[in-house]
Amino acid sequence: MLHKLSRYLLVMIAILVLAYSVPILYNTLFDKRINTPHILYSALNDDFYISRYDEKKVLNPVDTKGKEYTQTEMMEQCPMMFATSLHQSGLLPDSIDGVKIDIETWHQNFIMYGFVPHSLRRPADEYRLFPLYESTGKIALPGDLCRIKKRVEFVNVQSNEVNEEKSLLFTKAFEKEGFVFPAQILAGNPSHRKNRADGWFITDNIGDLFHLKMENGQPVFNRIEIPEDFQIKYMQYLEVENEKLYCFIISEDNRLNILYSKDYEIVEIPVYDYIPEEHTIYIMGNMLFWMFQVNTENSIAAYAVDLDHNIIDSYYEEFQPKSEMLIGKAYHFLFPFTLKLTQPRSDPKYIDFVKFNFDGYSNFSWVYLHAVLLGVSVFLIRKRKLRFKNNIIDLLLVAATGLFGFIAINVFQNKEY
Amino acid sequence: MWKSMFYKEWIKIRLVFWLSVIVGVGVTLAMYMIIRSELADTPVNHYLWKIMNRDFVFFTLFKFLPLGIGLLIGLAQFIPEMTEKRIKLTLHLPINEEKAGLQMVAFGVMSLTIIFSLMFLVFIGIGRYYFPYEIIRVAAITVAPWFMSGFAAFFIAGMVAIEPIWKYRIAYLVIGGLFIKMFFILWKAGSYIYANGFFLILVVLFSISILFSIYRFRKGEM
Repeated sequence: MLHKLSRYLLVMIAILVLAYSVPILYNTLFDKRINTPHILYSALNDDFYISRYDEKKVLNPVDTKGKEYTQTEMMEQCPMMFATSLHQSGLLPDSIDGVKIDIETWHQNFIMYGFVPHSLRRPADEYRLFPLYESTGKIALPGDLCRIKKRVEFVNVQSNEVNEEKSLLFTKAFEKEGFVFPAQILAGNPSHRKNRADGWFITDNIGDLFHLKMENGQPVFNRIEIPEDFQIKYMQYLEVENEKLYCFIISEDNRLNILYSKDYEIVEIPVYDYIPEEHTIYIMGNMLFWMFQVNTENSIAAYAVDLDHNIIDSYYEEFQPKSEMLIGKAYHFLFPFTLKLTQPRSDPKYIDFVKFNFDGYSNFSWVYLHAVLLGVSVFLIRKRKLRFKNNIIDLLLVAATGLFGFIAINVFQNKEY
Repeated sequence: MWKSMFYKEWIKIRLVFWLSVIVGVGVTLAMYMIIRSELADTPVNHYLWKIMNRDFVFFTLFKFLPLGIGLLIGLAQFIPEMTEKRIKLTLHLPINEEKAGLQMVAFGVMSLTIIFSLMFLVFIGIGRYYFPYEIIRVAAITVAPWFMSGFAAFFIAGMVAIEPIWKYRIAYLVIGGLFIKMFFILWKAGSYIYANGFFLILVVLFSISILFSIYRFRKGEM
C-alpha cells in the first residue's frame, strides 16, 4: 500500500515542481514587455504630457489633446521636472504663477519617490534592529543597536551585551508616553550618510504612532496624534531637504497619507484607486504641486494635486493587459494554474520573498487542452491494457491539472502487477 | 533486524560520514575564522550595518555544503546496492521489502541529521558569540532551506539510483533537479521566512519516494 502512496506523493510533488518551472520556461521564451507610458504634469500649461515608448522607434511626447512635442519642448514645458538641465541652459523661468523659482529652492522642495509592491516589505525588515543616531552634533554610526521588544534595549555590538543603563532610560521614556510593547512598524533612515537625524517613527502593539529621537544621549519621545479609526499598514520615512515632511503612510484602507513635520499633521491624499500590494505609485513633489501616478496591470492614472491637497487635474489611460494578448491567451490555454514562488519581473509582488502563491483557474480556456490530454490518457491506458478502475485518480489528476498532471503521471507511471 | 540493517548501512557510509562531519564543521569554523579576520579590519557596527542594510550574507560559504553532503551520503548508500544489483539480496531477506527500504532511508536520514545538527550548532553557537540574537535568527531562517535541500538531494539520489530503467532515471533527475532549485531561488537573507514550513512538508512527503523505485525494481522492471 505504501508504495502506491509513495507514487501519488511523487506525482503531487512533480505537479508542484512543473507548475513552478514550466511557466517560467514559457515566460523566458515568450514574455513581452509592456511599455507603460510616462506621465508628467506641467504647471505652465496646466496639462499632462505623456511619453510613450516603443521597441521600434522613439516616440515624441504628446499632451492630452494629442499635440506632439519634441523632447526639448516638453522639457521646457515641465520646468519642475527638468529644472537642473533647464538651469544649466539658462531656460529656467524666473517665476510660475507668481511663485519665484530658483534652483536652490527647487532642490530643497523636490521629492521623487515610488512605492513598488515589493518595496513595502523587505526581508531586511526581519532584523528589527536599528541604529539610533544622535540628533545633535555630528552623525556617526553608533556602537550599539536598538531593539524594542518587551522593553527598549541597546545592544553593544562590540561586547554583544545589553547596555542596561541606557535601556532603562529609554524604556522609562517609552512608558511615560504610554507605549504598548512590542513595537510593530519601524520607519527611519538607518544610513549614516545623511545631514540630519530625524530619528525613528514607531507604531506600538495597539497601532499608536510615536516619534523617537536622541538628543545629547537623552531620549526625546513624542506621541503622534492620529485620526480616529486610522490604522497604519505601511510607513516610509523620507529625508526631505526642506524638513517639511517626515513620512508617507499607507493606511489599512489603502489611503496614502503624508505626515508633515509641522505639528505632526497627517493629511490624506485624494487618490482613491490605489492598492499598495498590487499597484505601483510614483510620487513627485515640488514647490508648486504634487503629482501622483498609479500604475496597474492595464491602466495608468495620474493626479495633479495642489499644495492644499485638492485635485487640480487628472489623467487616465487603459491599455491591453497581458492576459488579453496572444501570449497571455496561450498561457491560460496551456496552464490551468501556476505556482509562483517569487513573482516574475513584470509583476513584482514579494519579489524579495519566496512564498507559495497559487494563481489560476481564472477563466475556462484550459478546458480544451485538458480534454485532449484526458483523451490521450484514456488511449494510453487502453494501449497498455490497464484497468480503468486502477487509474481513476490519475485521470482525475489530468482533468484537474492538465499538462502538469499529464507529465507527472507519465514520468511516475502507474503499473499493475 | 534494525541493528543488523543499520550495521550494513554503516559499513557503506562510514568513510563518507566522517568526511562530511570534518568538511561540514571545518567549513563552518573556517567561515568564522574569515569573519574574525574581517572584523579585525572593519568595526563591528559597520559590519552589522552592511548585513542589515546592504543584504550582505556573511555565511555564503555554507550554501551548497548540505546539498553536497546529502548527495554524497545518498550515493554512498545506494550506488553499492546497484552495482551487481546487490539490493536483490536485501529484498530477499525474510522481512517486508517496504520495511527494509524504509530502514535504509531512516538510517541515511539519521546520519544526515547528526551531521547537519553538528554544523548547525557550530554555526549558531559561534555566530551568537559575535552577533546579536536578531542577526542569528535571520541567518537560521536563511540556512534552513539549504539544509532541507540536503535531505531532498539524499532522497533523490536514492530514488534515481534504485530505478532500474535509464529513461526514467533521467526524467527523475530532471524533476528532482528542478525541485532542488526551488530551495535556492533567492539569495537575500530572510527570504524564505514564509516558505520554510511548506518546504518542510514537501521534504517529509518526499521521504518515502524510494519505495516507488524499490517496488519497480522488485517487480523486475527492465
